[in-house]
This record gives sequence, structure tokens and C-alpha cells, in this order.
Amino acid sequence: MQGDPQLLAQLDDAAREKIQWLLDRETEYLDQGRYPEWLALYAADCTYWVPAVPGQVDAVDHVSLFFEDRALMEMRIARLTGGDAHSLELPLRVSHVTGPALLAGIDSETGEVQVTRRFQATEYQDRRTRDFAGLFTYYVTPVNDAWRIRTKRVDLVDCDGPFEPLQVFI
Amino acid sequence: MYADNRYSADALVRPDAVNARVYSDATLFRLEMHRIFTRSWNYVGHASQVPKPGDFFQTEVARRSVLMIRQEDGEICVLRNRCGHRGARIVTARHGHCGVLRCPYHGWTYHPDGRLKSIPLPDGYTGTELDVDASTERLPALRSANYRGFVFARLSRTGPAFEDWLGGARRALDNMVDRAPDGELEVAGGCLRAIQRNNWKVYLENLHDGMHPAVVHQSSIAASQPQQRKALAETGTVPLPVQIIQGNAQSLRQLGSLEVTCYPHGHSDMRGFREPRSDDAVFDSYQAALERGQGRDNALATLDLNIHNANFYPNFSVHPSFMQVRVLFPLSVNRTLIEHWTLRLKGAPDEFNRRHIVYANTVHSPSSLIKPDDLEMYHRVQVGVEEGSGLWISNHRRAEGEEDGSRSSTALSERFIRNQYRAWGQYMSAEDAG
Ligand code: FES
Ligand SMILES: [Fe+2]
Repeated sequence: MQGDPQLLAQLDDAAREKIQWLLDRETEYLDQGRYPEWLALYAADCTYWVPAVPGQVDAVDHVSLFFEDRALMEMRIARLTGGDAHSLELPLRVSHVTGPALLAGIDSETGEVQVTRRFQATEYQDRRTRDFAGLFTYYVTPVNDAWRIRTKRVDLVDCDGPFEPLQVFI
Repeated sequence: MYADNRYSADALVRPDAVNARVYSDATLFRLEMHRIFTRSWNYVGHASQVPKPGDFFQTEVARRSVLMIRQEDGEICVLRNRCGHRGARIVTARHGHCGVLRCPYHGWTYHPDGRLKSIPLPDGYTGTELDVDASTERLPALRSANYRGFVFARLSRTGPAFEDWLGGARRALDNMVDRAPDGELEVAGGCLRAIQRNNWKVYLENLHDGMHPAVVHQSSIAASQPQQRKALAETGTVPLPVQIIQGNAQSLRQLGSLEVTCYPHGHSDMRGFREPRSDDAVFDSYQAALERGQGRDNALATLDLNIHNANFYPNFSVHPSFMQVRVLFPLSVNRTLIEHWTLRLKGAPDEFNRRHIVYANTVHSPSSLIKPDDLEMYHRVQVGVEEGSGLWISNHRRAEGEEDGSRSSTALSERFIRNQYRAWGQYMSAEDAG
């Protein structure tokens, strides 16, 4: 993990390693379609958010590309794995490439850690590919012995552009 | 070319069927842009998007960029966004504010009403045909109409008068304004834009189709059922997104009771849909505000109208009970852009207005669990119709005994589609006058 040395010094090696492992698994499980294992990386009160405008601060009074709590994430996974979605009759595959994880902040009260990393992802379905790119921001939080993702925010470079359906988590 | 018989409306449209070419022929698409989209009224935007003089909002009418712009006197003009000199697009921003409109190429400037203000080197035109004061050199204004904040424009000199075009379909717009405790709406919460890989008409023909939800939306209905059971067991109330998705699980008998009303010029609305009302405390506080603002009887009558969607042919659709606004932009014969906006009810509790955002995220965002299956079917229709013109697309359902004057039907009838093609035929067979 990279970042400001003083900030990095506030996390011990074991914590850094565990967070790195967590974030690496996160995109890997998405690419492998292992959604239940993917969701297990998230805290109970998790949020998955893809803003619809750059720098969006609010998802309650403003629309989003995705704004999901655990129940909605479970519902999306149920649809992705249910086998009865017409629009998923042809397989949909994704592959992510991620940049270095960057420690962006530590909440002194809760111990919650903010990590960002750049990504590119290619999606394939029905003889067509499309590209996604942008910044992941993770808020990871200690839960018992492990670290879990409380919020994943995805800022797409083209977030305010028009889209064909976005069916899988980015 | 257009005199060619293959492009006459009579050769393409029967009362209960249309030839597949209406969705797949690129020449016909260009003809539609000219004969339908320039002659009909198009929704442009909402007055609240340009609150102050000089505020503008850029959009498209019939594939032309236009500016909805607020004047000094408070009126709203809709102008072509194309310089009178060499035709450069003047404004690229989606919205903004201007004192004058200045073309970035050679610096011609225009007043916010489109009149020419200044030309650099005016004496360069002395003794030429170009009259620099003439009204012909301004940015042409479209004919426009502001109906209770909803702004419409027509590009062509010929076409129906606005009041005639809107007709009885206006009740959905009235209902939206009437739902505001303070009697006013404003655009709030941003815009979602979705690309569809189908002809624009395929989309309009799905909007009151009560036969499709149980089949098309089986995946999202199934995915929402465990969440519904869990929520009922744990909290006794079902989250709004789950309820919205469950709306597609209504029985054919329920869908058969939805009342669809057709209007001249291709418009229609559908009422009686089982709309989610998940958080009754929030709804009750809204209803109390509405009764305070509008009086109890008016408030109850307003809420009772319950229009699920109203379509204003060819480019505009609203959903009054959730304050959703959709604008259709044909991009090409097989590509369509839908812009989605949400309106805020002034005087309603914030918690209530937030339901409109949840509705938009659930139904209209690209990540919707519902929408991809609709779009998949639109695209499958598109690839089907592109396979050749021998096919006639059936609009027969519940056509038996239909009299021309009967305006009422249900969501199980394809009457609203037949009504759209009546308008299509009228627009497409009118002569090219201007
Ligand atoms: S094109 Fe606009 S000033 Fe020349
Ligand atoms: Fe649908």
C-alpha cells in the first residue's frame, strides 16, 4: 500500500496486508462471478455507490448510477445468479486491472480506513466489449479480527454520460 | 424519393398492423424526423431549469440543438443554437448563464432573444447583400409554449396549434402541478441518460403494455421475493425499491383493470396501477401538507387520479405519482436516447421528495434491475424487424369492435399503439408545406 508515510505509519504491517488482500479479492471475485464470496467481504451495513456526476456528495437528494444497501446488493446478486434474466442469457464477462492502493485517510474515532485505487475494466457480452475507467474509493472497517468494506464508491470518468444497462457491479 | 410509393403511410400502416420497415428503414427515419418531429410539439425542458434572465438549458428538437433561455421580461424563448454567420454551434454547455450569446468563431453576438447584437468589422458588409440589422440574421426562435412550467417547442411553421396538440392529455401535467402543496414544481436531483439499441417507436409501444411485465421482468420479480419476505418478517414493512419491482408482479386481471385513455395526436395515459406506498408515515405527512395547501377535497381528487404514465407523442412521457419525466431523443433508426429527470414538489416533506429519487434509481437508472430486460426485448424486436420487410407487426390485441371514437381501453389492449400509428400516418402523409 502506498501513501503519505506519516499516515501509513498509523497502520501496522498486518493491517496493511489484510486490507491489501481484501481489496485484491474484491475485484477478483467480481471478475470470477463469485458474488456470495464477494459480498462476504463487505460489512453488514454496507453501501455500494456509483455517483451520476463528478464529485457527487449526496445520494439521497440526487440520482445515482448505483446506490445500494445490502438488501439491494443481495437482490442484484439473486438476479445475476438466478438464471432467468433475459438480458443475461448470453454470458457477460468482466476483467479488472487495478492500480496501487493508496491510503487516503484514517478516521481517528472509528478506525475506519479510506483507500483509493485507479481501475480499468473491460466488459464483454454478445460480441461487444466496452470499457470502464475511474477511481475506486473504499471505506474499510475493522470487524472482529478481520477488515471489511463498509462502502465502495466508484467514480467513473464518464459517470454523467449516457449508458447502456449496467448489470454487474463495477 | 419521398413520392416513392414505398414511403407512403398507406403502404406501411394498417389500422391493426405496421410493416417492419417503419422500424428499420433509414430513409423513413429521416422522413420521420422531418415530418413528425419538426411538426409536432416536443418537450424541451422545465421552466425551473432557467430561473433567472439569461439562464439557458441546451437540448435537442428533431436532432437540432436548441437553447431554452429566460428573457428579461420573464418569458422563455427556445432558440436555434447555430450561428447565423457560418453555422457554428454557439453553446456546448448543457446549462449556464449568459448576458449575450457570443459565437466563439468570429465573435458575432446575439441578445438572449436571438436578435443580432453586434458583428465585428460591420463596414465589411457595406454594399453587400447581408443586412446586418435584419431579423433574418438572428438565431431563429422556435414556436414555444409554456404549459404550467412544462416548456414545449415546434420547429416547423406548419403543424398543430399547441392547445390542440396537447388536448385532454394535459390532465397528467395538471395532476403533477396539483400534487405540489405549494402549487409549484422544480427539476431537482439530476439526470439519468440511457441508450437503447432500438427504434424510438419500439420504446413508446411498450409503455402501457400490460402483457409484458410478468414475462419480461421475471428475473427481477423473482430476485425481489426473498427480500420482500425477509423485510416483512423482520420489520413488517417492505423497502420502496422492493415494492416498486413487485409492481410488475400484478396479475393479468389487475393489469386488465388499468384504464388506458387515448387522445388525438398519438397521446395516451394509463391509470390505476398499484403504486407502492411503502412508508405510510411519510405519505401521510405529505398528504397532510397537500390538504393544507390545496384543501382536502382537491387533494383527494388529485391523489385519486393516479396516472402511472402519460405519453405525449412523440418525445415526452411523465409518471405523475412519482414525479418522473422522460424525454426521448431518436439518435438513428436503431438507436434512441432517453433522458430521465425528477421533479420536486414544492412544499412537500423532503422525505417524500426523496422517494422520487429512489424511484428513479430503481426504475430508470442504467443499473436498474428492471430495465435491462425491457431493453433486451426492444433490441430483440429491432434485430427481428431488420431481417426484412416481409413482416407485418401485429397491433391486433383487443381491436375487435373498436370504434374510432372509443378512447378508453385497458393495459391488455394494443389500442394505444393503434392510436400512435393513427397520428404517425397523419403526420407522415401531410404535404411538405414548410
Ligand atoms: S461562425 Fe459564428 S461568428 Fe462566424
Ligand atoms: Fe417493462
